[in-house]
Amino acid sequence: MKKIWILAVDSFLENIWNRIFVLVAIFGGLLIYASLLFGVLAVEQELRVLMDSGLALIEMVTLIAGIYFSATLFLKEIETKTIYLVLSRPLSRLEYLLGRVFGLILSLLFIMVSMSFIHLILLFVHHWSWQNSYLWALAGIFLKALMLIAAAVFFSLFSTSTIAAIVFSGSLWILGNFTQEIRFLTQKESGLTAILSRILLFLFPHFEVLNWRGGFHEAKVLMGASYAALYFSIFLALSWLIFRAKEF
Amino acid sequence: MRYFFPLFLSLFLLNGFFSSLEPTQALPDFSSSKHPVEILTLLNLGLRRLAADIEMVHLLIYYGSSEAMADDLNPPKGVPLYPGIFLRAKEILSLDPSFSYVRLYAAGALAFNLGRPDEALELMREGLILEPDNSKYKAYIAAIAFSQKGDERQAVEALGPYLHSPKTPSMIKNVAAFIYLRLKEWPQAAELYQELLNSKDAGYRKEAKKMLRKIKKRRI
Repeated sequence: MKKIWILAVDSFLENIWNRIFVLVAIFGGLLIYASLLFGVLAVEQELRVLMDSGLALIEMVTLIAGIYFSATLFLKEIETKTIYLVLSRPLSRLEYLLGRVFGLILSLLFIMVSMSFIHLILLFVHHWSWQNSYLWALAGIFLKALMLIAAAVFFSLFSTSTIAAIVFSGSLWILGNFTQEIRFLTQKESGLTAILSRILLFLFPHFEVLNWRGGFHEAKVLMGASYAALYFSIFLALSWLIFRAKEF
Repeated sequence: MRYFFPLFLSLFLLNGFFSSLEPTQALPDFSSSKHPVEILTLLNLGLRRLAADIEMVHLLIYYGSSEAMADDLNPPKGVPLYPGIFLRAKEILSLDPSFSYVRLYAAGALAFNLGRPDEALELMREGLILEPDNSKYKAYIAAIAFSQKGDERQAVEALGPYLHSPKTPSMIKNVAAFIYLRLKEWPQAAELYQELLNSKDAGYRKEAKKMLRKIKKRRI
């Protein structure tokens, strides 16, 4: 456990000093600022727009950073041959994988907390009164990020190409937002379209169960959290199977 | 590698099971939108609410400012003023059906400003299907019905308790205040204009200030 923790902290610090992380943080800050201007245009709905655009930007930046960091995590270490050094030590491949992934999770948490802090300041300046639904919305975004990074790590190990891993994970992100509409198609259409739509439902994640912006509903939160945890674990197990058999 | 198949199978089953738990949803209708690419991009990223927000801003600009198209302000014979307001509101509500501000704003504009109560009633009825217990929608329907009959007093009274809610669009408060003025009910009109002094919309604040001065002079 200690080895995993050391690796996780190492990954976290590496990401913090990564120039891309700094860029992502600046990008997030600027976009939240832009959402403030957009809020003014909404006149009486300023707070709603400020809330929605802020959360949307937090989600986008977290997921983009998550996909990018996961897709490059192992490939960069393989390319620079750092992985040989690490694995030559008394450290199992499972510990290495878990350490790196948990480091990534810590980095994403850090990104989310920093951006939420800026966002909350903006909201409070606009006389927003605290609502717990804000935390639930962030929790939903975090769980989505967990699902996507697990998938992106798997794709990066499976495809051995950063671009392919980013494209596959990005596709999961996009199509995972359309499952309710795909289900609608399965009910309305018949024949090949319906069959294909049904297959898609089994292939792609279902992010709607993690949309908790409307507030706290015990059953929905429990259901979404278990889904994200199972999805994350299965993809991590798949990544472990590939990583275990990989020859460097 | 023998664990690969069972793991993938469990992943598929997991996705299939959880996708069946949420209600189905039709693709939002944005066929009449002037910004379909914008909306589609946001939908792809799972940002439905933000797409609805952006379209609402466009609706406010369309109806509330001089940026409205010349055709909408001086339409050809037989075409109503601001013909696009109903479709725009429907489009926003197809993105976020719970966006009650847009429902109230568009219905208020259609019923009380543009003389198109049928379209306003359609928006309200759709709202009631989604939220059968929403008494604000019921009050609006009653107010629109009275206004159709030409009974302005009953129309504003039907809105009664909701008129003073901070969530009621300023445009509705302004219309109601104007009706009170026509009915020569100065205190009620003044009360509403007083509330409009705190509106976030500078236009309504300015109008309220002007009207309050007029009311003061008349009463003197």
